Amino acid sequence: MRANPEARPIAGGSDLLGWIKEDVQGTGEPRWNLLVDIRTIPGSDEIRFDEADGLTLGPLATLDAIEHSPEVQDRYPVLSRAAGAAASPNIRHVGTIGGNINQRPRCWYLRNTEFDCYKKGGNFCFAVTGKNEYHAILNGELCYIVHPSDAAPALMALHADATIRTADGEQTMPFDEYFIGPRQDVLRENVLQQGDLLTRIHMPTPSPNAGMSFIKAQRRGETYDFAVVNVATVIVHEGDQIEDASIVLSGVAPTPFRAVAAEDALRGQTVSDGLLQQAAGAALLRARPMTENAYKVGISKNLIVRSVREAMA
Amino acid sequence: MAPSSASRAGSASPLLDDDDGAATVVTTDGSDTPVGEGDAVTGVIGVPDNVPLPEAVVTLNVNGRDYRVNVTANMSLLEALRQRLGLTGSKLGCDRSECSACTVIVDGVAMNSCSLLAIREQGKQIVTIEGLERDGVLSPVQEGFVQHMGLQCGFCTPGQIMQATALLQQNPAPDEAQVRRAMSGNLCKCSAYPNILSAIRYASEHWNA
Amino acid sequence: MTIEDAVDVVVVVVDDVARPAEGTIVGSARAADFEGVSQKTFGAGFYEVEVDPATGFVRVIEAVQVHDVGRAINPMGVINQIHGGVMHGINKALTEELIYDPPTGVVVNPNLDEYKLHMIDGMPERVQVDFVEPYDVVGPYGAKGVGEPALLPASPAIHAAIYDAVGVYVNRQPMTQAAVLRAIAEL
Ligand SMILES: Cc1cc2nc3c(=O)[nH]c(=O)nc-3n(C[C@H](O)[C@H](O)[C@H](O)COP(=O)(O)OP(=O)(O)OC[C@H]3O[C@@H](n4cnc5c(N)ncnc54)[C@H](O)[C@@H]3O)c2cc1C
Ligand code: SF4
Ligand code: FES
Ligand code: FES
Repeated sequence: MRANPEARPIAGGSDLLGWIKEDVQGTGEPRWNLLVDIRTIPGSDEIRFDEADGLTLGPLATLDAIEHSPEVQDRYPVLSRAAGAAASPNIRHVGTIGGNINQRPRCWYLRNTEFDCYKKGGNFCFAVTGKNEYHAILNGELCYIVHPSDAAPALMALHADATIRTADGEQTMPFDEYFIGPRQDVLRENVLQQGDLLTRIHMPTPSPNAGMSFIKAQRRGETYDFAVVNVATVIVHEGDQIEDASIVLSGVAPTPFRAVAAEDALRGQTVSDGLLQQAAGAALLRARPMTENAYKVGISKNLIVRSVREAMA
Repeated sequence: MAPSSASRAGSASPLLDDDDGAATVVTTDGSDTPVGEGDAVTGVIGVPDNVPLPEAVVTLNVNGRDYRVNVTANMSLLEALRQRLGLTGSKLGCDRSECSACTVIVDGVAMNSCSLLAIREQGKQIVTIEGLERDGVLSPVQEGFVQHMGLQCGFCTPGQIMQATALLQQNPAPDEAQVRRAMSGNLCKCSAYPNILSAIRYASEHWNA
Repeated sequence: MTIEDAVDVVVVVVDDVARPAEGTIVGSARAADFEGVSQKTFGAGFYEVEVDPATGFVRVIEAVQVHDVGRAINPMGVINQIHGGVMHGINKALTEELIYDPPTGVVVNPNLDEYKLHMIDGMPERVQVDFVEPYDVVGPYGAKGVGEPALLPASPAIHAAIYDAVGVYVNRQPMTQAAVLRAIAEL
């Protein structure tokens, strides 16, 4: 696969086949002519929990299996909720966590062959002059996609690590470093190069005092929509006293966005309405909305407040 | 970690090669020729009409029978069912996993057949809308859709029925919230949703009868 | 022919319908005689919504809709049509929109993922529909229509319901989160 620049791994295929059918092409995105079935790798769909070691996920575990795994539901509810919030039931039956993390963005200019934008090697971002109601409000530069995955913010909130297989062998890194923005490389959304694979996802056992919440704001009903904004939150607390906070948003930036400023504002504090407002405000301080998506700033702030409250309830 | 098998879109690999020794291998016309052998496939995005696509003969188990089917490497399960096996009950709505009109049950799980590759579905039990009725008797879900008129134009109906069947196989007495969630990927443009709910309630009540 | 004449004729038609002679075709599409007489259809809709001011998300929780359909030839089909109309109205009010890229005019959401229609989970918790059946002068078998009228009440009712909930009329359709939040902000 590494030798063939037109080869691509296929897991469930729910994102990749749609992408191929749309015939999206450009620099870094050739017309894939060789699909390598990675579902056949034995054990790659494991979901294994160990009190001492934490949770290990094979990249081929389906979203449906993760959502319904009793251990995940019990100990990592934020991940179970996130996996269950993605796409439709039938997509969750085939769609894998690895595919969900590595799926390509949904920017409607990117997925339309008529627009040759930066992400396809062109020299323009059509979202800047066009319809950007659902594009990024944070960290956009050249390209203003939002990261489409619902599972990714939950993994980041749980401080998960990614193990990847590259030409130089195996490598493990936190998901905070796995996703890269357009500033680093406009053609990719994560560190994987042609031929690399995500081989394992691992996260520590959460503290017994951890409360979790996943909230997804979307356009219709409860299911089957990419997030307008979603927030995955893990709060370690004793009553009203916050020991640690992990808050990650998706739908707002080209990568899942860790609200570091909010986490810092909350850590070690006693929760109050004023504190939550201040933390949420700090998180969105650097928001630079486009012509049509300023409403996302308010939603993001409100959801941060709501999710911290929910996690501590 | 090396992939233990690779499906080459350029040539038929041993993985794709036909007979897995299944007991009853039949073709739709009773002859030995795999269904669809020699049929041209045209109109594929990115492939000029005069370029032949790589083909492979696979065995698909559909509604309890094994069929030897000649498929191209890029053929979806839905295309194989409709164009090769003539099972046109499953409908093509969006071809992108967005509407679930193409829902079939694969090894007991509802899936969008438009977004599965036929060559990857060998060795699995596939049930389509054609496989629900037994000796002229409709299945409880089909009967429910008839009794409660769970449709208007009927285009989404095979998908709705397969989705509801998969749900009831796992949980014969779902509450309304569970039904709504399980059916939430199935678009009905006519929006016969209230009657679809009634139809599934009927099917649930008559599930074991 | 005047309306009065038409009404006279109806009496005869009704008799015929009751006991049609063998082989008679009873009822007809609008006859030439009735030119200028149009069928008026009536209906009313009542909608209850929940607005989440934090996200701008609007959920319709109850829909009640009643229509004057003339004679209901297939009552179950009429109910089904009105159900469909309710959901189409909700889609129109809240999500359904063809989006064009302004500089090029290219439609950017030519798919069922970005062109938002509600699935079954978007259906209100309670949907009640009914019809009344005054015999219609003009329509076949005394029927009127129900296809189009059924989708009209939802969107004005939902606009008004949102006003009732948050005190602002959203002046655009569909009323996406962006539109609702913008309207609330401008309050
Ligand atoms: C209509 C629709 C709606 C959706 N809505 C949502 C939503 O609301 N929220 C959400 O989060 N997702 C949504 N999705 C995306 C869906 O969750 C993904 O399509 C699915 O999870 C992908 O999994 P897959 O196994 O099918 O991946 P594939 O389609 O097989 O792969 C996706 C991509 O990841 C690469 N890849 C897969 N596995 C690996 C690996 N182990 N290592 C390296 N690369 C890999 C593939 O090469 C490919 O490029 C939606 C998809 C559709 C079609
Ligand atoms: S946001 Fe990114 S993907 Fe979308 S048009 Fe701009 S450059 Fe292309
Ligand atoms: S045709 Fe398969 S989901 Fe629409
Ligand atoms: S009956 Fe027409 S789409 Fe469902």
